[in-house]
Amino acid sequence: MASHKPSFIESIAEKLRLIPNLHVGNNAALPPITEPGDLTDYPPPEKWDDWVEYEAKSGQRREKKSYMIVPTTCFNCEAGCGLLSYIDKETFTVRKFEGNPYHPGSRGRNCAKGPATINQINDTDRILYPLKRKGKRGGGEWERVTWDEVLDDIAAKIRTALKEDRRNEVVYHVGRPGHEGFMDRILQSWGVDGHNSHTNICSAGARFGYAIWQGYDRPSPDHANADFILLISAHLEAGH
Amino acid sequence: MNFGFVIDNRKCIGCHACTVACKAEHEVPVGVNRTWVKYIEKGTFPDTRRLFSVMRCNHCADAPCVEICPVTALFTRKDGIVDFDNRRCIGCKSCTQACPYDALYMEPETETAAKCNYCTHRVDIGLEPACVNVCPEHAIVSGDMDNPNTEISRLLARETVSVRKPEKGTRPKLFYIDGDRASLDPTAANPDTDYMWSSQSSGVGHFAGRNADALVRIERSERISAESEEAGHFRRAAALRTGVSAIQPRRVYDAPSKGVLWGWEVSAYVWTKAIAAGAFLVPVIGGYFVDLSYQMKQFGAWVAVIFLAITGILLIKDLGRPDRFLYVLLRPQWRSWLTRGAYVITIYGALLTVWIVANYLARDTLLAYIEPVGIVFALLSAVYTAFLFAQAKGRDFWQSPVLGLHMIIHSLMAGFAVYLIGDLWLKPNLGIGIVFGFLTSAMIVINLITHVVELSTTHATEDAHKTVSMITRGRFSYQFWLGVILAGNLVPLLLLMIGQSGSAAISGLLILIGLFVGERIWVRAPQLIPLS
Repeated sequence: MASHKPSFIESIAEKLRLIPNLHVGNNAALPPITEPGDLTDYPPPEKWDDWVEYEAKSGQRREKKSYMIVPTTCFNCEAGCGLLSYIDKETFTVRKFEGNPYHPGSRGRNCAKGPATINQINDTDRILYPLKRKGKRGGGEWERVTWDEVLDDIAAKIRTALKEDRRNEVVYHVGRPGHEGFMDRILQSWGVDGHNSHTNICSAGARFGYAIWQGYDRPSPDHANADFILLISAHLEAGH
Repeated sequence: MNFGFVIDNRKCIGCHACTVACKAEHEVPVGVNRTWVKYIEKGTFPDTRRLFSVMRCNHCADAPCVEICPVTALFTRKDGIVDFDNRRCIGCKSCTQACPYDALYMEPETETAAKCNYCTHRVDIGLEPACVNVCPEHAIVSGDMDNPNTEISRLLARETVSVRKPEKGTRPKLFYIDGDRASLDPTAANPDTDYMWSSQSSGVGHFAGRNADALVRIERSERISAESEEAGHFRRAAALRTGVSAIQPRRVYDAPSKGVLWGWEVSAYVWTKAIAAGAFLVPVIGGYFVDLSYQMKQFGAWVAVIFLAITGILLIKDLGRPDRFLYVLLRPQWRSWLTRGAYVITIYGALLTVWIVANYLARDTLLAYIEPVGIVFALLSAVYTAFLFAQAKGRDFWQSPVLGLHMIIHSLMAGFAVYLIGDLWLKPNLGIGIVFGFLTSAMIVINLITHVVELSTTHATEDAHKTVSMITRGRFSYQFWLGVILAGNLVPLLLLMIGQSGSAAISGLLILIGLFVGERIWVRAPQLIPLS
């Protein structure tokens, strides 16, 4: 895919190797998935397991990259829009996130927070494995431990607390409670009233209302088929 | 096939999803953007509104960036998309001066130019650009404008649309539905109001400076915000005096300024080039009228060749990719005055070298053949920058038709100044000294008239007008009146009229200093006018 037909001077200079030859080694172009002049929004799902596209950063070199496209969920607000993660088949790392056209709520559209998920994946401060404090509390010293170790350790402490009837000493804190009732059931079976999350502040009022009125945390309204929507907020989903 | 964009401002909610999706798709580094959203607030309470405008490359049908690019690193594809090839880019930054829409930036990682390329890597396999896909409001519409059945064609047929800066004649292919003048015209809402990123004027990437640490930047930004506070104060005071409402549209969010991308190297090379041209022109043209000694011509040729070498070094130093400087000659794009200029300078340098050798070997016939050609190439060397600056369509002040004359006069002034200084060693006969003194004075007078014409003729655009007031009354006024007019023109003129011995050399020196200060202002001031 030569971007440019070289001039006489350029061809000579490239042949004499005075400058790098940019007009060789262009491998076969990928077949377009649409008719010429037509553009579509997403790769067809039957190709998601093995999707090949050009790497944007390679520019006119048009480097090909193979991806697995795996649907996932945006977790940057309570709306929980659909995302597609593009997983590089060579490195098994996520290259980017796009919307998921088959998600019933977001239907392939996202706000800035959707594609920005890649920043959380690649955040240099992200904790990638369990860490255990060593030394004094607040000393800022941590050591890496295995999942087995940390699960045994925490489970043993919770078990002891439950056996000794010190249930109020157990607190479960999570950033965004995406478990939708699962952890609540566990905590209830333990007899622990210790669920804490950002949602205690963020949407607690509305969700408490839902809980006592409908017995369900967050219903997803059928916006598309509604005849009338009374919206008392700026944000259709989170209701801020 | 002719791809374009429609931005539907009836739908845009200013969420920046396009900005972020573009960043993720192209892994655009921190501090630079290929697309961004500008926020404008306007109106009087309670009738106030915040307006959003998505900004990016306009994929112009007549793209000035493509025309000025010396190495075809920017090019228009058959499907109408303006794309770039960073393997070819030499980092000369002329595209950033040519684009009236501020669409180009220097990629900090590669020191090459980059911009929105309509996601051609996606378009080539049939996918829409990343920003179009992500937009939750479907406010960005892409598509083929030649096909009447596409959504974009139907929108363009049905709706009233506007473009940014149509007067530039670039035929942009990014159309706004409900385009708002206060958002699309950078002069309508000045960036001197405080808004997010408004203080980040030290630039990013190439111009942020490798050594500029965070503290330096904070200090700079504090100074800038103090200046803008002062400007705001004056505006409010003026509004009280005149009774005109101080409430004008204001910028509340915008991408950071890219700063001055053509720095001291460019103004210095314009100056060294003027000397290199003038030092040869003056004795060789003079030689046709009066009998000049060969020492004088030899002196001129040597000064010319040395200053031309410095010009070359400065030109290469200014490149983001000095390792690719040969591309200007070996991957030439002939419409660019940067390419033409590079060839002119190279040929001029070769002619000077041949002249010096022929003179050494006393080949008079050869000299007689070379000199007229040398004059042509010296003049071209002096003047081509005016054509290059004219191709920099983003900078209105450089579009002056007098700029060519300005460059020629400056090179002749520099040439005479070199001989006034050279007098100390050359000791020409008295008659020639007087003639040179008289001609220098004449050049100074013509130069002053040129400046008057450049600065006082009616300026077609607001941007050119603002640049002039920056020079004559604003932040460059001391440098201009004291450095250029007084020290660089009036004092030397006075000294030449007094005609004391030794005063000629001093006036020559002052002329060169004045020219240097002048070129710096002429190169820098227009770049301080925001383009978006």
